[in-house]
Amino acid sequence: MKKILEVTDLCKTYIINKRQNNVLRNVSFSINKGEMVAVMGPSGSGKSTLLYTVSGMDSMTAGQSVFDGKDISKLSPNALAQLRLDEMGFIFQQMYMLKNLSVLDNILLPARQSKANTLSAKEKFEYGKKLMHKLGIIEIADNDINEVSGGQLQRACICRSMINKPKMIFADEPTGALNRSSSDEVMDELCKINSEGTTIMLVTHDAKVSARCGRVLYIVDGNIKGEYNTIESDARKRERALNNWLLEMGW
Amino acid sequence: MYLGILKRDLKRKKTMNTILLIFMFLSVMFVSSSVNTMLSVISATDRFLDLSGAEDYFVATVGKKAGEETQKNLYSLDCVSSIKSEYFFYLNENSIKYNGKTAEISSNGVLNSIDDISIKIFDSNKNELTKINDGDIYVKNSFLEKNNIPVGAEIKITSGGYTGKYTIKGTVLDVLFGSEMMGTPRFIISRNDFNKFVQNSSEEKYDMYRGVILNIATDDLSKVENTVSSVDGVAFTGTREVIKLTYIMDMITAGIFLIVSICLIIISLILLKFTIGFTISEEYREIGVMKAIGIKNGKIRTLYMVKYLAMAVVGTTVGFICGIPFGNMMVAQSSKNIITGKSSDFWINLICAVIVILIIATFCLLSTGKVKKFTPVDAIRNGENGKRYKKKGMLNLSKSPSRPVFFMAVNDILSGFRHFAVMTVTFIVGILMITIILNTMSTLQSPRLLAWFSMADCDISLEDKASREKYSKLDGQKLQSEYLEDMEKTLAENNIPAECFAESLFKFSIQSDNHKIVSLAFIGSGTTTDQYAYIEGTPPENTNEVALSYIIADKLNVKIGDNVTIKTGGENEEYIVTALFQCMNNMGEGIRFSEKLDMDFSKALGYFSYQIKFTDNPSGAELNDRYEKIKKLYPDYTFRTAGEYVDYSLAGVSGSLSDTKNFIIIIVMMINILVVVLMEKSFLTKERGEIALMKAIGFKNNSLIIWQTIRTALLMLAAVIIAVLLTEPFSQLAVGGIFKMMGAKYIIFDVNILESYVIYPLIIFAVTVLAVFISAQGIRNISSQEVNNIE
Repeated sequence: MKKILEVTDLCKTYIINKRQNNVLRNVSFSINKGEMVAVMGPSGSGKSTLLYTVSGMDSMTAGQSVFDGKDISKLSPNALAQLRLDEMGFIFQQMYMLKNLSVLDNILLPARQSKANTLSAKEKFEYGKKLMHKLGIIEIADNDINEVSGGQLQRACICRSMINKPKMIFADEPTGALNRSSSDEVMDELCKINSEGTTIMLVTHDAKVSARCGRVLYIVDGNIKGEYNTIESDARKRERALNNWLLEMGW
Repeated sequence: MYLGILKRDLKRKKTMNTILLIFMFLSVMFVSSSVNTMLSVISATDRFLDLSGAEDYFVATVGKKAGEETQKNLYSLDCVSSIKSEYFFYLNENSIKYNGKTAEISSNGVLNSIDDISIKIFDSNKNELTKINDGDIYVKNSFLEKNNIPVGAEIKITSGGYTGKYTIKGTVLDVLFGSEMMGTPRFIISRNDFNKFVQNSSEEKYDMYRGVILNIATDDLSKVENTVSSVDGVAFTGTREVIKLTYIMDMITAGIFLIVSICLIIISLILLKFTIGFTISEEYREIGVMKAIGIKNGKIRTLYMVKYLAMAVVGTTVGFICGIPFGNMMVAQSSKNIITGKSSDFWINLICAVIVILIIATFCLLSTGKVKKFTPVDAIRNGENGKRYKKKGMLNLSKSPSRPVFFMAVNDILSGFRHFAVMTVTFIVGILMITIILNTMSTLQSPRLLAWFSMADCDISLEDKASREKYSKLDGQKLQSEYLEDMEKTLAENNIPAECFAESLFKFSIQSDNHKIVSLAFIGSGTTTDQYAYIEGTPPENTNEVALSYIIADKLNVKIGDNVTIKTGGENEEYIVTALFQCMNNMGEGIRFSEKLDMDFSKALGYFSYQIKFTDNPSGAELNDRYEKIKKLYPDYTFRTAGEYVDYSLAGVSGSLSDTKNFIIIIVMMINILVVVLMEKSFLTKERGEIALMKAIGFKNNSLIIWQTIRTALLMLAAVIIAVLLTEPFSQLAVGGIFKMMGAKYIIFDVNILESYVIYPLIIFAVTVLAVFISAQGIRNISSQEVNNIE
């Protein structure tokens, strides 16, 4: 299967108060097109840093991250922005949206900004509504962002990440701020999107969430300590098997 | 613990705290310097008169008899407590030579000895001038500027048959002859040099070349005025109020600075209110946390009050120090011909600083007052709870055809206009300052103003300075008419179809019941009275009819239809008042006679100029050709277009306003740049999370910079439109009063649309937008990862 993301010897170092903090140390892994990969690990292990660095949102100290054949470390800030706009989708732990726009307008914003998205304004509008309908939040389309629940807002964020039909979605704790039922709803949607062909890389603390991904990377102290491929088809068995593996990893 | 919170707060929120500190500093600087300027400007002329030792009434007479008679009559009055007299030599248009050529003085001048002058004269450093060495001379600055003569140059002065050679040592500030409206310049030499003129002047020449200025202290001005008006040979009379009015042109400049001062105070206060409100709203989250852990409202408010007051003390101290030179600069710019007294007063600056601290405390109290109403959760949500949630977005991107960047800029403004109001108001005030001064300048140069100078509308003025009194003889009226007819013929022969006319002026005493005053009077040659502008009534058609300026009518307490007595010749004549008009000659005093009146021109003081009005409507190119032709036909006359004549009559005030305009444009630009830079910094701090989010979802830096720039550009555009709409009423309010003091109570501002409403607003627009564009470059330093900072 064709690789969409290939990370080689990725290093990320922060200098805080003249002290060097090596957050990522020679991380290498790859993600194939259509995969759904979870990144797990204890707090401070470098999960989010890994997600943001490989996606080009943050700079890398050394190494290489190749996204769909493009070496991210060699792209200019503008080229990276273009890449994020047209080929990547992002979902954050907090449901970040612009206050002055309605939910639908927040979803449409990247589409209206994108020149690669050749749909007309009307078609983009229809597609945005279609996504909202698909994720079951069409009734909040014209609401302000402070008028809707966290689960609805996170699903709206998923719609926004999908609006330009990205090749890959990067999600940083997409269910972290949600209750169990909202979390399940959001994961249902992400799995559905993945089943339709969109690659997803997500960072999570939640084994139940990871259990729904095809592959789990376990990161400790900036290094990938292990990798787990879910093979069980039954959800409960899969979750149990993952938990056992996580225990082995020291979770 | 609280001190620790404060210390960390000051460190962590460095940007916002610095912005607040800068605004506090600017407020004190602007308020203290503006108050100083206002106080200086408001009482400037009174202070100048007091400093100079000017008494209540001034009279200037020419000739021995007039001087002696006036003094004798005045000494007989009980109401006169003192009379100081200063003898002078009269200088005419040809009296002064520089480099072998005649130096221009607008009408005539006076020559005095420093020891005889009854008032105090000041040098250019505003120090009293008490001694002048033999061979040296001090002159009015505008005389040097007009003739391009440097200090140190040598001039020759001839009067009464004697010629002396003098080195110009410097310029003087002279309350009596110093204003631009007082066309007569004073030349001051030593007593020894002056005595040489006296010794060489014969008794026969006394009446032509010598006179006396009387500085009279009295408690009954009208009695003095009545006494003086009965003497022939009085060249000038004026109360302190009249002297003050001669500084009206300086007061236009000063008045504009008064407006600038008021504007700066308004801008300072709204900036402070906004910044304090803005910074406190930034603290809500922390206030909420403190409330949540049980700290009482009083303690929280005290904590923030202490912080803001500490910053206020630092900001106001720096502002207080910087306000002194800034105030001095403003006062110095406000008038160059007036000694305005102390420039920046320490105590005024101190009082202003204390007032600003009190205002800051009040704003803080009001802003932190909200804290009481909020629950901890409300505060954490930035002062909003579920019930109070308001619709944020005013527009829908989904329904808008515009690009997101433009859409967001418009939507931001409409959704949270309060945040942008301070910028908009600042922009409006700034543009208003400029458009008001531009409209005043173009009005002062407008040919339409001819009507306010008691002249008929014309295209060209030809001034024959060398023989201004050539028609001042019994048959002068006939001679003048003949000359004007001849002029029309000459022009017609040169393919210039035109009417020629002239305005002769007289000085007559006019009386109604017990009120008696001396006023300028006008009669036209080659015109009919319906060619002049009137406020009400019908033009005086018959020989026994007159039109009066409304100021004269008010002084005499007469209305249209009333009779007045005017002593035009030896006899008192009765006239019916048929109309009222406004004029700016002699501070609004004027009488117009019918052209049919057979006037004794031997009493004429002179005539303004020959006026030419083209009877066809020549195009621009044709006009220029005609100007050149007329200049060639009449090379000895001073050629001026109607607009140039108006500007000249107003002593070129538009020129000095031009300096003021440039100063104000610089101030406005500086304020706009400061406000825009600081506000943009505030916005970048407040919107850091949103900017990061947009970067994260793929917006490029340039798009985001353009978004921020468009937002300010739209506000600026709105400000330009609002300011343009407000210019006329605000001009009336700000400058109309000064025109009214000069005698024109109905003023229509002449607007140079291209300059006032396009070019200058565009310059300010471009500079402001450039400033915001540069400030918005800070967006490049915001990382998409800072998305976590979003509220």
